[in-house]
Amino acid sequence: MTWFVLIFGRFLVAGTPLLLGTIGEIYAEKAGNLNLGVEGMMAVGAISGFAFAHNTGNPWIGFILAGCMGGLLSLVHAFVTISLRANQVVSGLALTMFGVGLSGFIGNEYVGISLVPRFKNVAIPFLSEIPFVGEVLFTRSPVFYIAILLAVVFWYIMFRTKWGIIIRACGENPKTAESAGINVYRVQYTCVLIGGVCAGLAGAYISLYYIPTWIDGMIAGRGWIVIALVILSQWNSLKALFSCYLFGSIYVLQYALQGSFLNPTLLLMMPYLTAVTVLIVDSKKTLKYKTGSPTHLGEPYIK
Amino acid sequence: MNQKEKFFSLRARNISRCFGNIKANNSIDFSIEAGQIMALLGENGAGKTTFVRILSGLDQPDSGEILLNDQSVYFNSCRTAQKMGVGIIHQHFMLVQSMTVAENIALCDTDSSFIYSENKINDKMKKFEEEYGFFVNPNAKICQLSAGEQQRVEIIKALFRGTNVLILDEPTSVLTPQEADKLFVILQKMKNEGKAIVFISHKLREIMDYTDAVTVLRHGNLVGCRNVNDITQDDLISMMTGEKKVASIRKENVAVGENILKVASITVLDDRESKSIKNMSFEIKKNEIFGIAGIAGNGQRELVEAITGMRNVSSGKIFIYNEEVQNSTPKHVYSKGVAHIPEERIRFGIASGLKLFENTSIRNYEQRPYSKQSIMNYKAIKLKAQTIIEAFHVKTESVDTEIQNLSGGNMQKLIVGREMVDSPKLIVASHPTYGLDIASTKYIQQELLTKSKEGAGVLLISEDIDELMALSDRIAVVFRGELMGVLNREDVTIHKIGLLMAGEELSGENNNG
Repeated sequence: MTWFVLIFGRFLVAGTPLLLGTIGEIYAEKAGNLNLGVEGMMAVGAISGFAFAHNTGNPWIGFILAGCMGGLLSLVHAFVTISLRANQVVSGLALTMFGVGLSGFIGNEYVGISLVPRFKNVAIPFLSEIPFVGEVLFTRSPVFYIAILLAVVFWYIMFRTKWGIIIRACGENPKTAESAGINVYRVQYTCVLIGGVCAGLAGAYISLYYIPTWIDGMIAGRGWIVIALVILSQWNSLKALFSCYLFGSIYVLQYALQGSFLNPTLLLMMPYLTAVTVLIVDSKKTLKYKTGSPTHLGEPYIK
Repeated sequence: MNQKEKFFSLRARNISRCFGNIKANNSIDFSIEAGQIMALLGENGAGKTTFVRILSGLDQPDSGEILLNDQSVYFNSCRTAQKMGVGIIHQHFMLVQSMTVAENIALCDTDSSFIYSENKINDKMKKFEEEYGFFVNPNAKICQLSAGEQQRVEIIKALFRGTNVLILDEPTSVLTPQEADKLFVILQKMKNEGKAIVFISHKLREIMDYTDAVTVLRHGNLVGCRNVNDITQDDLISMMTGEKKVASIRKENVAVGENILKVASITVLDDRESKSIKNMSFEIKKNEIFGIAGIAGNGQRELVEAITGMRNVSSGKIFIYNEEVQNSTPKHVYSKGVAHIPEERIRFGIASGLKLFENTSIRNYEQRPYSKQSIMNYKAIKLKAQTIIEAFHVKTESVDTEIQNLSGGNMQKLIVGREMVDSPKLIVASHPTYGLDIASTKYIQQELLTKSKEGAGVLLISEDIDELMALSDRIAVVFRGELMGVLNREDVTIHKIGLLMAGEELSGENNNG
């Protein structure tokens, strides 16, 4: 039983950074901006979170400043793609390369340090006393609760409020949004910023809780998985809850199954392989049904 | 003027607007009062669109002023104009296709609450719908609605904003005749409520039947404003074109010859892999013009692409002179003597970055004398281009001009010339006169008639029913990928075509399809 709790707990830990990154990227994409720089923003989030937490001794300061750094980086992408109308794919790729490089550069002096100010697990009163479920779901790091809460709130805003209608209109048909008196550029800037902050927080979660140390390249492709997860979740943050924790479990199984009959190198491929499969299946599906993919995604809007 | 004040008139004085050297609007005066329907008439490039853009705040004039209730106002954006009660419905609807009707309305309704409430919007919608006598399902997604229904959503949007002056840019171009009638019933009711309606139209019949007055523009200048009771259609034509009269075109009856094209129960899938042509069959004979009517998006594009080899059929056969050509390539089909005048000339008809002579060689650049073992012979190509521009009256500086600098009419003449210069056996013409002025339209229609007289078969796809009735020997109406009926020219009436376009069966003996 404890073994079971442990495995399930790891699923949730591994899925949380994916969830944070995914719900943020959903906002950017729903507003029509494809930001492929998630990997870079997560890397910068991870190192700045680690550095600030290490130097101030408070994981919360690290966590919040990491979000700010991710947001700052995303504003560069927003400026280049929205104001200057550069190609979003090129800008996003550049952001990833820049972010990963920058994190390695800053992180040089932190290599090998084990982080002391970590997030502690918080047991939610009463709920955590439920056998099994309480231990798995309600005795977790505070960031886990924040992520779940954000996913639900983000979903509500997107599909139940006027803001959501405005954001979706910008990604579907910006001309229509403009004619309804909406400042499309402002909406897109805001949503890209939300995506950047979330990616920064996701990175910080990895270096502050998941693997509380700094290793160069510790994001290890999670930013790319996030891009795939947005599609798998069909741009819906409630569905992202499911798909992100599914992928979290694949990460864990990759370690858990090591030493078994499967070659560990094969297991390392699993998240990527799954992502590619999902993309193929999904592209086949988009031909027939609308899956929530914004029509104007990736195209700069010119007034 | 604030919204509570009662609206009585909108005037424009001395409106001028230049784009580079072109005077799109040259000191235009315009006036409309509450309870009036005003048509804005003019050929393409007459400046109608520029003028309504200025009137609705989307563009600002270089000089001149707009007066609302005799008070000078300045619309720096369409939002300002909307606040003052002037709204526009574009030809291409400003709707988010994947959202529901209610969501689209919430998007534009400044009064709607932060938490989206479908019920509140439904209630308000019902009120308007009862008042004006139409109904739209608020839960339907826009992409599920017909063009007429989408237009009604746009009207509801305008009503939500408290629009007093409603401007419509070619509102009937996407509608069946019956839907257009319904639209005018709604507009009439709005008029009786004290609203003012301005609409752009090319269709003289509509103007004569439904408007109170008409303002005519020509080459950016105001020709005049007339009460419709005082004028005839011919007056309007001469005001619009500046000529006295344009000879009407009509195909002569000719004996048709052997089969050129035979389409045998083909089924074609569209890009979303749903059947856009279902089990369709027809034949086109020598000397015959076969017209296809229908609202855009009922499978016309897929049909043309299947015949010209651009799209595979999933079942059925296509014969040209008894030879199967389905699922081959456009090159193979063209080699059988098929000419193709594609829809959306800039997207499918030309390569806009290339020069004129390069565009005329697109069909036959591989043949001698235009090239020899992959080496181009530009002398021969330019010579050919020169013959085409002379024979088809294309106005251009030289064959070296970049094709994007040609006007729409000249571009289309060039495409028609390129396709027709080698006496094709079958001409597939998709909306060949769409968006052209009257002179170019007549020219191209005449060219089609000449070629059919010389023995070519013509497949003519058009949204212009008058054009189809003037040119075609037989008219088929396509609805959701099926031919609803094939009418011989002597049986055709606008009413029948309209019914078939809306997917209704003709009850009667005249339906011999």
